[in-house]
Amino acid sequence: MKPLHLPPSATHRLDRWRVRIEPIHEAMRGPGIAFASDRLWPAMQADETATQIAAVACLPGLVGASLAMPDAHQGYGFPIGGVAATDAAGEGVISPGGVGFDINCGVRLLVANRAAGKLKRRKEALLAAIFARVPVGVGHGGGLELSARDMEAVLARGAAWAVAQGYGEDGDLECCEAGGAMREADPEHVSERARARGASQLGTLGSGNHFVELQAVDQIFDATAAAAMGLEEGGLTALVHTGSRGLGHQVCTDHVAALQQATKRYGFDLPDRQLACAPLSSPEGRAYLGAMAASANFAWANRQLITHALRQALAEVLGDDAHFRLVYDLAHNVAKLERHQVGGRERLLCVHRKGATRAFPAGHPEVPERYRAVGQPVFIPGSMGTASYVLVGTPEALTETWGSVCHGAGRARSRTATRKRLDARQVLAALAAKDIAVQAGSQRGLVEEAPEAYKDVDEVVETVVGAGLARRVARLRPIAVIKG
Amino acid sequence: MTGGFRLLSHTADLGIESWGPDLGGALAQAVRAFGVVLAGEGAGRVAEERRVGLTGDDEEALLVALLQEALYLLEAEGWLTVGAALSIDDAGALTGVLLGEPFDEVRHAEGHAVKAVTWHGLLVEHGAKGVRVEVFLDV
Repeated sequence: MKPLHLPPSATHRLDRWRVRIEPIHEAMRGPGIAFASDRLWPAMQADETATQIAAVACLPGLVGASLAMPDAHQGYGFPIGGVAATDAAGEGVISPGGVGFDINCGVRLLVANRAAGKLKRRKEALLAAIFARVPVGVGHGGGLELSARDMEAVLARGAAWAVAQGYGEDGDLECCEAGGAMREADPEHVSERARARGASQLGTLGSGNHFVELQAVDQIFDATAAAAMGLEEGGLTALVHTGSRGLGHQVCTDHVAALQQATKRYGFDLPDRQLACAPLSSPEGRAYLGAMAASANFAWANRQLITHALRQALAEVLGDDAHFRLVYDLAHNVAKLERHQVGGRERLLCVHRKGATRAFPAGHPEVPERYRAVGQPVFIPGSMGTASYVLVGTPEALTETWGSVCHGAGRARSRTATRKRLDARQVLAALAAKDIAVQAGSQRGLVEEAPEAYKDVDEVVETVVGAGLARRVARLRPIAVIKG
Repeated sequence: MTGGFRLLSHTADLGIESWGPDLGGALAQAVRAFGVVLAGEGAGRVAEERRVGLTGDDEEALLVALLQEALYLLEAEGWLTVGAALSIDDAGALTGVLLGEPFDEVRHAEGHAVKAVTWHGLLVEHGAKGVRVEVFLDV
């Protein structure tokens, strides 16, 4: 199938927060819904986002609509910020493109038992202590060297392996999505190449838009939810953004390649080769699910090791009784088997979240007990130098988006275009003017991640909140950042 | 057609357009472009060579497999590919050499950390003057 063309007449605004894309092409199995305000929608039309929402609607076994969150931008196959559910108990497919190469790229928020104001002159020292312990940037390795046996355990047990090895503490696993490990993991379907790429990368940040950011809690919107999370105004937090590193990237690469033939064999005709897929019930579909889940476990172990490094750095700089507690850890590139209400009955769905975050409401059994009365924490990082938000999920999200919201500010400008407009000196000066300390793996990377390259996170959050998908809990102001 | 390449903009990632008198030439230029992405403009050097042999279900698949091989060599073996001399036989099999050097974390620090080679927007176009290819990278 050729790439889809989407005429303007195919879209119309439903309300202030939602745009509908009609299933005008025969291959589309449902409509598209973009959660986008008037300010955010034009960019989705200008790049390929809107077309990609329509393309995703062609996936066999699609249930409901192909969805896009307010931070959505052009990706490959799926838009970044795309959500799509397929019928896991029927003929629904699983598509690696609906997860992304960085399987379980995600974020975790830590809160310190110190106020941000206590850092003062020691902010740079803390940043340097973290930078010394967490390898960043391009190249290979620098992380924990895993034996074949350890790798097998990491793939199977995820964050639990890391905690058992001494890289965590009681309470960490409860505060991870899926307890820090997906039970669908099947390491047998993780190739030797993937293991080789990841063998020395556990505990590393990577590059691109990955970061560790130190923040001050700037404003509390929901005192009850904030208290449950241990957040108070002026508090010190740390946000970690990274994923499954080269291991996950290779797993997706391996399975997208393998699914090229499977897609044809099952008779699927899709508008983008990156949407290659297979029925969940097929050997190929099960193989990818198992490998994807194992890679997700690697990512949770990765963020757990980085957490350990942050705890060590904090103690080094502020004393042994200074401590980071894990608030929560979320995946934003993953496919999960979840039970949802569809047309009045419960169905098992495969929910693909590609640059989108799970956001379950209060009372949901998968929300940890400590947050069950308020809802699942959600973290929306802004761009470097702008605010991040803490939200909680709502019942409306469960109904409209399979319990999903955006994952960040969303990129607005290409890396090339950003480098043409800015240089490192300008970016550093702008951050210094806000008293934000920076350590970066490369000057080029720093420029490409400038706030000007991203959408307005306030507008993105306003849209998810306005649409009823989430509630604000707190805003976090950056005070220091490490970029890969 | 003499060979060459340019980098393409993509909202979050990067693309490569390359061309050559034949498919081998176009793919070799894609490898050169990939080296620039991985190490930065002018940062890579040819110090060593490694033999390469690949197959693919079609020419697009061959392009993906070639750049993925270069990415694997970097991440798993710390070896940076900056160029290639390639030929494709009548059966579509690729053989040749990859040219490069051990990755240097200082000299190559301005390169991008490429996650993968995508299948999105893949193009292998045969024309009267030669072959043109396009491929997008997840950065």
